[in-house]
Amino acid sequence: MIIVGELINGTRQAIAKAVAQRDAKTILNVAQKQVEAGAHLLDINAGTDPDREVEDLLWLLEVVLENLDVPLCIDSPNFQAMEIGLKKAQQRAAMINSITGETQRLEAFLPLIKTCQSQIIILCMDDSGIPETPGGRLEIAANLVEKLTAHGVQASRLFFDPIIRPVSTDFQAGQIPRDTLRLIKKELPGVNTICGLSNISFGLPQRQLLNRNYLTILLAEGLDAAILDPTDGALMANLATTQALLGKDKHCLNYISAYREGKLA
Amino acid sequence: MSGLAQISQRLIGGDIQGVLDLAAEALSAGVPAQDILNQGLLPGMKVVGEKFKKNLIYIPEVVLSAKAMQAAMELLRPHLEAGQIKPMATVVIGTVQGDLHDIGKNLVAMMFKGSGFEVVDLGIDVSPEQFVQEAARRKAHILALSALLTTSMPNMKKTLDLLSERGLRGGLITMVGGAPLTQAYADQIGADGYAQNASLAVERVKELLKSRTPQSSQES
Repeated sequence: MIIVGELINGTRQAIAKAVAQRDAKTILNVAQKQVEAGAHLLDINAGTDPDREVEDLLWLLEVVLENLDVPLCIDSPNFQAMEIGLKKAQQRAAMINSITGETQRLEAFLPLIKTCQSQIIILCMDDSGIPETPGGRLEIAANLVEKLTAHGVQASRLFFDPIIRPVSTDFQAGQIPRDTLRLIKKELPGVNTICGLSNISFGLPQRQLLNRNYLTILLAEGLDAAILDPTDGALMANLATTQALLGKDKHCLNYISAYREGKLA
Repeated sequence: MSGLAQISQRLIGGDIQGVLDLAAEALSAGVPAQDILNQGLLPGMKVVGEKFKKNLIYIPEVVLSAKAMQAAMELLRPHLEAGQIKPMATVVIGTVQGDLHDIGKNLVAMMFKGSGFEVVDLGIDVSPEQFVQEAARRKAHILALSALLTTSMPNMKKTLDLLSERGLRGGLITMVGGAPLTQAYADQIGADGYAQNASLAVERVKELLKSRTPQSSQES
């Protein structure tokens, strides 16, 4: 299970403020906390102002690259920002977040993807939007596997995101990503799956409770990676517990050490 | 409790059938449609908006109340038109070109509908040309643009610039919103208003309507 820490995101007010004020201390503090809590990668998103995104992203990358060893997940829909970000982070740019099946975005990102080694998050949507059915989302994923592997991109670099929408605006929205994951696992062996977990709980109280339980459901469908808040202790305890129950934790050793470290309390 | 206060209560509770039944009852008892709207429905939605803002109720509850409001408006519309009531302000809303996000835009559209506005939802991936044409064709009072991507945000500016080019900015209130948006960006591209969430968007528009043309206020 790959954990991508989601907290360095320019659409969060505290981060936007730190970026605007070039407050490296705050950024490093958030980065460090996520790593200590168990993040394998840190998502870096500078996005607020399109005119400032590139320089803000570069600054964020510089702060984290210079002070920590953690690999990064560069998060931008803008291929120019991605290109410059990849150049800056080099081998530490472990993941690209994200591309979609939208023709323009795909064509723009393709040369970048072919010349780097980063793993790639792909949202299951295309020019006609987000399909309402799991089958529709699978079809987009299948088309992209074919297209990208034809360009020499290994299937193992692909991380498909089934796209989670809030249950608050559609009370059956939790089912579609779950069924999509199951289909991808069955029909597209060799690719990986990922999701942005906290979307599920938008607009409802006690969001952490929803996030935590939804993670369990998705893990049962074979989710390989998640973008989440690793500093949410109960979420991480839930993750360790579920992995042990699903046979993903050999001899339950992670579960036991999580307990010894006081992480299951 | 008066019949109209009961309508408010049912509306706040998101009871679609209850609102419809009471509204139909009031109509047949001879209560003017305008009173049902102004003393029953709109005060109810005002409470919904206030409670939502204070986190006392949540999105699914707001959705139900807004649906009840819409259903009741359908029932009242023929009676309101017969009484030659001035139409509510019209909002043309959509997600800008290059962007397929719709959740936030849908919520904002719903809150406007629920507050008695006439809403024309152009959907997602809407070009500047489409926005400008529809705003003119529908005689919109408010144009509301949504963007969730730094790559699509510049299309907000393109839309606003095209409006100015065609000389359509004058009577129109332009609003922008979406997760990466800020007041600073709204100012920079020359939008009239920005709001952080759906209920604040309605409030902001009401303020702007009041400050521009006091006689077209939406307040009951």
